[in-house]
Amino acid sequence: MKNDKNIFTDEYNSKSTELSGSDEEQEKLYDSDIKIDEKYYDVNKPDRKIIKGKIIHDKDKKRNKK
Amino acid sequence: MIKIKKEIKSRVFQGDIFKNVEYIEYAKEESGIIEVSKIIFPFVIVLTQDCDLEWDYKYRWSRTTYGNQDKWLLSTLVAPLYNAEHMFEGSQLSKLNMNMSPLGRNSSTLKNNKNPRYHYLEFSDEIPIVISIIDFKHYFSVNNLYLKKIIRSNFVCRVSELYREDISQRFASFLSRIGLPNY
Repeated sequence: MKNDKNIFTDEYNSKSTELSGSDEEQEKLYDSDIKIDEKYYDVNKPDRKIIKGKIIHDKDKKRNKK
Repeated sequence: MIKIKKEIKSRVFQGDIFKNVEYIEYAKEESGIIEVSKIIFPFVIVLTQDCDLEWDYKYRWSRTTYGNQDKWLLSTLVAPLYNAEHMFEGSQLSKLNMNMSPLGRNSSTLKNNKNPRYHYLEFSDEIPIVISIIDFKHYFSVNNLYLKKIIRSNFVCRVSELYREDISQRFASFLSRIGLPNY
């Protein structure tokens, strides 16, 4: 059945979303990502951020260009 | 101590832990000014069933054409990981102006995961996360595309199957608990 295809087939793995490079390179990439960072120990509370901005309509953009 | 995996995959798995995940509280527009309020959670764990995540990924990203979007998910369920030290003080949400009840630092009930509301997690030294606790009262959904977009930059590690199933089962049990009235 079509839907039973194993997701780890070559076709699946050949997607551009897949990590590229050898296992070793991928491991290196990962290791660099998880390097212990002291800041994790200090900053570990959820925080709120509020962003405000003006909506620019297409007609305003056109007017500004002129 | 829980067992973890470190390898990054192209899709999101149940038990994945991500750092700096944003939760949109609200977005409003008034007189041409748009305001978005978001909470940034330092760490979250993915709770959505893994088979659902797998099918969602296959339907969206594999080259096979399925003809419909039947297996697409609208969002992925995650729960925040709080620093245990902050929870012992009840200060884990202080930046959100919320005071919480402090948990007993030496509570064996908590550490052995006998308190249904909480899940205690201790990581090995190779993972840059302090001892953390999941509060099963806190969970939210994250957009799937957003989560996929941040895999490379924000993925930290993946809780291995046995431990993630424990979390999943305890979460489901807590969520489906029946509150009986006191007579």
